[in-house]
Parts: sequence; structure tokens; C-alpha cells
Amino acid sequence: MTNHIPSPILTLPTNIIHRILDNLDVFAVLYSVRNVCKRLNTVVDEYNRYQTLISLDLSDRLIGDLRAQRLAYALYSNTTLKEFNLTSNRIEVNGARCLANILRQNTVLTTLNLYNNEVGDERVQYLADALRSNTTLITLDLSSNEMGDDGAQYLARALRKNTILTTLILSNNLIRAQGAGYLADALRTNTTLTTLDLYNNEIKDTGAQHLIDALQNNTTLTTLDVTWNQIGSDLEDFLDDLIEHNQQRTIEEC
Amino acid sequence: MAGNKIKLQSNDGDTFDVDVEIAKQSATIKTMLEDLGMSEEDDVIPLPNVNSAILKKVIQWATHHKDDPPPPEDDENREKNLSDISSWDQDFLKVDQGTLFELILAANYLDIKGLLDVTCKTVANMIKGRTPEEIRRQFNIKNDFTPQEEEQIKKENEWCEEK
Repeated sequence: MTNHIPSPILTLPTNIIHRILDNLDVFAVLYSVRNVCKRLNTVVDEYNRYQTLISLDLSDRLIGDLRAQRLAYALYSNTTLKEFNLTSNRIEVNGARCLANILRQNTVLTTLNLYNNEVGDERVQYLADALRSNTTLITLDLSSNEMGDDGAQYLARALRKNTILTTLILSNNLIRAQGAGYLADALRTNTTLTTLDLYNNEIKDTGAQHLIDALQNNTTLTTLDVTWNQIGSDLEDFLDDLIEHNQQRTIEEC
Repeated sequence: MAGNKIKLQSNDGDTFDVDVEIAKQSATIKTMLEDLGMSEEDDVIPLPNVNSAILKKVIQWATHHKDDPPPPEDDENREKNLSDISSWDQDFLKVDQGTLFELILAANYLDIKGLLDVTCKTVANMIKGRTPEEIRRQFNIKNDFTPQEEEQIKKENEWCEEK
């Protein structure tokens, strides 16, 4: 019976509902108002702040995994968002899967920042799989995500196929020599990645040697951070030289 | 000046005597008075979009807020604070949803910015932090997505579901 009575809020003209939405932050608009009913979806579609949503910074909001999932769903049909910052939000399996789903569908997102979440080895697989076919994402920050060699392997596989990502930030993870080896192998064929940040992992001398070997065949990587990886200073210097060589080469090509 | 009154007429025919200064919180009425020279005591201002019950509430609000400074201009960049609703306004707005939304429409029609701000803010507070399903319950909104659309939603989310 109640279904026959139109909800009073839906009788309001669009401009007044927009005025109500003006009091909410974009997160609330996406999280609470999106996908309630058709009318409200249209109202949101016509909402200026949604139409011009290019950058969404939700860092340190403790959104949590399930809410991140809902949010990702709300963004599924979005065609404006380019930069999405989800730093420190306890994102785990559901969030990672839904974000991967966005990476598959979304054709505008260029920056995804997941610093300090709980993605971990197993779940990075979803993101990595999506990255293989993604054609827009330029920067992916997965630092401080409790990721080890398996995670590095998934990402390395993605880097062999992906031709758009230029910056991969993996600092403060648990990647060891083996993981560095996977990434190094990917660098032999990848010709788009320019920045690889492995600051504060555990790749040690063996991992550094893998990277040195790979850089003999890679001319595009121009920034590599391997500080705090227990690497001998001679190997670290050698890596610096190779990177500097690539930098010089890039400048000459310009 | 003091004591000057005008008559406001609701759409169900009732008239209300209101101090001019109180009525002028409505930019719509203010414009009528100034542009149309409707200042004679005998003049009745018809308000065809507002019924008696709502007009009574609006006058009650405007009377309480008659000495307020004018509300600040809208600024898109200004961070809006949802918690700054005075306790008087909070009590005033403890009404059913039908009344709340009629008040919003009346505030919009009469162009009373302060009332429109506080009523919109009240609704925003009812939205904040809720899931779409909770919003449907809160506002008695029917889920009108078709089975096909529901299927599409399911499909879009199949990657998101727990193992």
C-alpha cells in the first residue's frame, strides 16, 4: 500500500534536491544517494558537483572494506573521475575486487592511490588482472599494503601486458629478492613504466642484481627507489648509474 | 514603522496579519511590497502555493528569527556544517516528512533563505551515513529498478562478491 504513495522527497524539484545535496560531501552523495531509485540517479547525474567530479580524496576516512565496495559500485558508471585517493581506509578483499571491476570498465581513471590499506598478496591479484587490459591508469600506489613476492608476481604479469601505467609505487611492503626478480623480468619487455618505487622492502643484493640485469634491456625506467632494502652500496650505485643512463637517453630523445 | 502589518492569504483562503518586517524575510513578499507598492493595510497578499498549516509554520519561524542577521550568501566552496542547527530550529522541525518537504517548497517559493537552508540541512542529516537501502526505508522510496537493471547491477558486482 505504501508503494502507491509517492515519497515526499521525490516530489521536490531537482534544483531543491541539489540544494539538499550541497550540504553533503561527495562521498555521502555517492555512498547514500546513488542507486536508491531511478529518479535520484537522474538527480545525481544532473548534479554539478557529480558532473565535475575529477578528483576524489577520501584519504584517512576509515571507510572500511564494505563501504569501499559500495562506493566503488556507485562509481561504476562514472565518466569523470580521474584521481581517486583511498589512502588509509582498511580496504581488503571486497574493496580490492570492486576497484578492479572499476579498472576494467572505467575509461577515465588515471590515478589510484591505495597507500596504507590491507590489499595484501592474494587480493592484489584482482587489481593486477584488471591492469592487464586497462588503458587509462597511469599511476598506481600500493605502498604499505602487506604485499610480498606473490603480489609482486601478479603485478609483474600485469606489467608484461599493460602499456599505459608509468608509475608503480610499492614502497613499504614485504617484497624480497624473488619478487624483485619477477618485476625485473617484466621490465625487460615493458616499455612504458618510468617510475618504480620499492623503498623499504627486502630485495637485498640478489634482488638488486635482478634489477641490474633487467635494466641492461630496459631504456624507459627513469626513476627507481630501492633505498632501505639492505642492498650493498656498490650495487645501489650501479643501479643509480643505469637509471641515470636511461634519464640521459630520455633527455636526448626529447 | 513598528506595528505596520500586512495580510497574507493562504491558498485555502485564510488570512494572517503579519508585521511587515517579519514578512519581509521573504524576498518574494519584500519584492511585491517594494515593486508593486503594496503597502496599504487593506491589501491582501495572496500566496497560492502555500496552505494555512504551512503558512502558520512559516510565520512562526519568521517571527522567531525576526532579529537574525541576514544569512550569508551562498558560496560553493564553503564547507557546510550540518551540526549548526539551533535547538529552537531542531524542535521546530520535529514534524512529519510531508510537512518538512512542504516547508522546503514554501521556503523556496517565498524565498526565505534562512528557512530553506535549515530545512535542507535537516534533510541532508537524514541522508548522511545511510546506505541506499536505508535511504529507501527512511524516505519511503520504492526500488524502481527493473529486473533487467537489477540483473545488470548483479553482473556489475559479480567480481565484488565474497568467495
